Amino acid sequence: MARIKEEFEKKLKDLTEYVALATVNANKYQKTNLGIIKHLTDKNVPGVYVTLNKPFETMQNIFKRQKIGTEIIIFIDAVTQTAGGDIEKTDKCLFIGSPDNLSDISIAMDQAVRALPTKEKFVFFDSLSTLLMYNNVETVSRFIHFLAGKMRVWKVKGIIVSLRKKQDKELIDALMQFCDVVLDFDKKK
Amino acid sequence: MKKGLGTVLGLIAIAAGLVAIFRIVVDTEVAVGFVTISFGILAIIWTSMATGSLSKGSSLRRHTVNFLFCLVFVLLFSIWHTLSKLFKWRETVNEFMLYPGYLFLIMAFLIFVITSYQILTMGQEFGFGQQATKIKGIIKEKRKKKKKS
Repeated sequence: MARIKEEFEKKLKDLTEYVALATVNANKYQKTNLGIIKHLTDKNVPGVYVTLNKPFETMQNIFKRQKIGTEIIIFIDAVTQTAGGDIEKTDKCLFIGSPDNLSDISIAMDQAVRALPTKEKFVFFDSLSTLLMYNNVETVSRFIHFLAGKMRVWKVKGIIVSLRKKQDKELIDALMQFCDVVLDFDKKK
Repeated sequence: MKKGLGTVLGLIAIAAGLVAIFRIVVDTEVAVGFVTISFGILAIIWTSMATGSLSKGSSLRRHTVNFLFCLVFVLLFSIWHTLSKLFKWRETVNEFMLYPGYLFLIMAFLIFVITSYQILTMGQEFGFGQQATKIKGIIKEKRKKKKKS
């Protein structure tokens, strides 16, 4: 948590809106994600959490255990399999049905961000690495370029999480140009 | 600047095309038919291009496909109506030659209804108004608590 705070203070202190690429170590992946969300929600900033990695229910339980309030977060779950792969909606989450359904993910994110009532808001995209498992590199690269552009239009604190894996290195390097900062949580301290 | 110039040139080209059609085709109804067919074809081309770039299985793609069918039937109606006027089928062939055109129109409206229902569902699924109101209330409460403490 201290490392996250330090990284935020160092790189994002003066920025009210940004697009950040957070590279995370696979071993500390969950801990880091939770730390980032806690850091944002503690400041009462509402946001949109897009999960391609773990189902909404699992995420909600983890958040509860860590005492992170999920009341001010809109969840978009693209990993839970819905009946017939169709879209389903509950009070707290929109289930897209499949991580390769990028069109619906984009629409859902746009609608959710624009619905948020405050000026300050965040978008947390979890994660680039999972997106790569369901889509080819070119599609992912174009999607992230589109997403970074959208985040600027939405004027949000945008965080795109990626595991720093050898096979993703080239893509991460290419995507750095679309982002304002790279938060490197992979470094060993 | 370049985009603005392109738009102006495009509008001039469309106006010139319309004038040409109305000059060449003397019958106004047939001329209007040709104009609607041209716009219909353009609409179908754009919609097909959109379908190609949307993710397979997405709601938007399904909606676009339905919309494409609507456009196809409207275009078929326009083609049938224009041909019928051009070759005077009603007088030379049979009165009933009008009916296939109406059938196309009925089909178009039927699919329009289905498409409208689909957009209603999409609005409910992708709309986050309720959550946003809840979040607003929670943030207000938290701020009040903070002020008190």
